Amino acid sequence: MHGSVLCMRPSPESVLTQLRKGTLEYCVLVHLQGSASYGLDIAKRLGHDNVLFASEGTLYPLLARLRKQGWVQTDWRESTTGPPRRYYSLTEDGRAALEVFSATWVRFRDGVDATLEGALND
Amino acid sequence: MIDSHHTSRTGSLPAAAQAYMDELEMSLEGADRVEGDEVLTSIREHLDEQLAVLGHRPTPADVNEILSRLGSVDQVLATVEYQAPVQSRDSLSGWAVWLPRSAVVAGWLSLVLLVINPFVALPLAVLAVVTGLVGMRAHDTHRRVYVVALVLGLLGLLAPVVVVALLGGAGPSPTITHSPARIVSPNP
Repeated sequence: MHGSVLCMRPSPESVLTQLRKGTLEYCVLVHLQGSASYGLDIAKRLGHDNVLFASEGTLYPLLARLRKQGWVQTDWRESTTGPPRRYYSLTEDGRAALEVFSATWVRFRDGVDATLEGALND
Repeated sequence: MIDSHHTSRTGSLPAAAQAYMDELEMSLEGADRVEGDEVLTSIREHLDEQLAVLGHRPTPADVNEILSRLGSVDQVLATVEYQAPVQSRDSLSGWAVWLPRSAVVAGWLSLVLLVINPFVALPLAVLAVVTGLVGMRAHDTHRRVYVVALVLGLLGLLAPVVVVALLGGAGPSPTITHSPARIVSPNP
């Protein structure tokens, strides 16, 4: 008698959810590398195609954690369109963390690409 | 550093947005307090900013659109829970609770056993002191318990010294007998 096997096919969204874990925070750091930015701006820049995150609200716990880790710092700046904005900027620790991630990411990405290409060529 | 002056928003939100914030606030009660407050104020700022850039009085459709892009409260909470290295290792492991308590018990026992069996009492006192010192430095939680253990251990170590000093001071002064020095002259 053969045992039944439950075959679960992941949705693109569930795959994205897994891939976002551990990478989105570094994408935020990359965005802040150029200049300081505020929450809504980060949300618009990184979330415009719904790849890095699907809902803007998920960005804020991440920003709070980055600040707690000392990778970003905040200051308040006046806005021409509304209330003062909380600007996030990269700290030296954040810059160092980003350098480590960037170097590691290239190896990781190459490894995944090589595996996928190898599988496709077989 | 967050300027608390700016974190308190006084303007009123549209009813749907306010309901969202209320639900979020209630749901964040179990989260780390500092992180929860920061998430709450950041999302409030996000809403204020979104409503301000509309340039007109927000319609219910505008508010729904903004809330839709923000995501459900559950989605936000899922991120908070996922990012919960916020929760310290101490709160997750049983030994972290029992170690400081055991150190306190060792400290108390060292005091109690001091008269009965000092050979057991003194190692217990040393154990309480060492555990108290290490625990105070290494753990944010249970710091007070570690301090109590340290104090009890120190009392256990110092008490015999004080007792001996007091007994020594109260007793008769020792008689010092001098024996005549023996002078050995070198042979000529």
